[in-house]
Amino acid sequence: MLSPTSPPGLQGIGDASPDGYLDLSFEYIYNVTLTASQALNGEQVSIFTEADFAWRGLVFTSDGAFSVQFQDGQGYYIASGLVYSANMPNTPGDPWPIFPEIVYPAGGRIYFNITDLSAGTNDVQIVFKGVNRYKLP
Amino acid sequence: MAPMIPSAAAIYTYPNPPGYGDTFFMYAYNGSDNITNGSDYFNLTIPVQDGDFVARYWAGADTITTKIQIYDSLMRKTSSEAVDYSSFKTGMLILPERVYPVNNAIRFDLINVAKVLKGTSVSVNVYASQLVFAGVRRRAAHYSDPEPAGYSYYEEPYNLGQDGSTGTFQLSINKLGATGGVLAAPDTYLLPIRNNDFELRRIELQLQSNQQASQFAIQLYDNYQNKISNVPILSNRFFHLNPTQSSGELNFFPSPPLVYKIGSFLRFDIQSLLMGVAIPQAFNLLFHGVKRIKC
Repeated sequence: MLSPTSPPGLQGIGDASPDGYLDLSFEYIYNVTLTASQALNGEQVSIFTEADFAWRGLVFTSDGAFSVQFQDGQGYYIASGLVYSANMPNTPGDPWPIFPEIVYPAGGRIYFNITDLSAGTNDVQIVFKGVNRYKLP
Repeated sequence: MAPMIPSAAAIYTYPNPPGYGDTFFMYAYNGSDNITNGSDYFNLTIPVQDGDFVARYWAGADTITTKIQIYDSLMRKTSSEAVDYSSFKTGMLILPERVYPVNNAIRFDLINVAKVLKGTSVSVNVYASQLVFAGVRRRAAHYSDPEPAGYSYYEEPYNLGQDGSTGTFQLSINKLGATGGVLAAPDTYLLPIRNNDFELRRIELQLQSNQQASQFAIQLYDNYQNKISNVPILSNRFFHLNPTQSSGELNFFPSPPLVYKIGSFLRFDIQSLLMGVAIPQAFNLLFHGVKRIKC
């Protein structure tokens, strides 16, 4: 370690791309304005066709509480029910970790259900942090 | 699809490309009269010069814009749409790090510009708005920071102070950011390096009050009098602040550390951003690191 007083990320973290692939950091964004107690099922974020996306962290901002239930790249839920937003504490620099990463294929979708718990209008932005995984020729 | 988990060894063993050296550097974009509050600007650039730039951290969106979209060296977006980080002052690590080749540029969009105006003198505005990218400059046949020593040594904690001895540095700024419609010239400070080589690892700044905005900007130089940023960096984006005092800014610079050799001096320029306050204003700085003691 070059400096014990600064985070490893500032000092260089080695390329951890799987063999035959190149990982580049990327974020997918989902914006919604929920009405009071509104429940939206089958919401989706489309994955670009250029590369698979490996989801590694979750960040969100909202006016109030909500709950959400995500699916993985094969359509399986990753929680048995809707998870309260308060149970996924995060900041942009300290995301809610998704470990191990969940891979969504290029051209695929991140499906999820989301429900307002604030009993009022609720502006929500969800940031899916991770990497685009490019196949090397 | 099965996840492909990288090995810990791959993550924590950082290999420099053979034949290249990495030295600490920061690129910044100043919010100025060139951009207008409430407007959107696309494809703004910071030219990358004198070596590749490996970006590892960015911050400052809270001082300059509402939403931001950053591009990589091939003009690919780094998020599917512009992201609102206007209320997030901590800054973001870039993982994996992002390389911008020499003569390329760091490109970004600013959506709904919101600059921080410190004050106005006649028609000259003094801003504390800055988007900062930190990382390393990668050059062929160059040493890497911290510059290796040609001798055996052990390290001992050391704080470089006012006269080169242990202690804090009392910075007194006795000019406003602009007076009579003219921006103040920066002041240069030199701290002599005596007795041992000094490895600078962090600089502390004691704010005068909680959640205080940047009151000055700093241009730090390395041991060879090379600037370590393209423009002076806002104090709240450069110095390590007491978390109980700051608004969330976390800075760990210089990282990797800088070495100042015995007989040289640590140089920095201070650009005042003081407006609407009495002068002089005093600030405590602590240049924290280790001295290398020959053995």
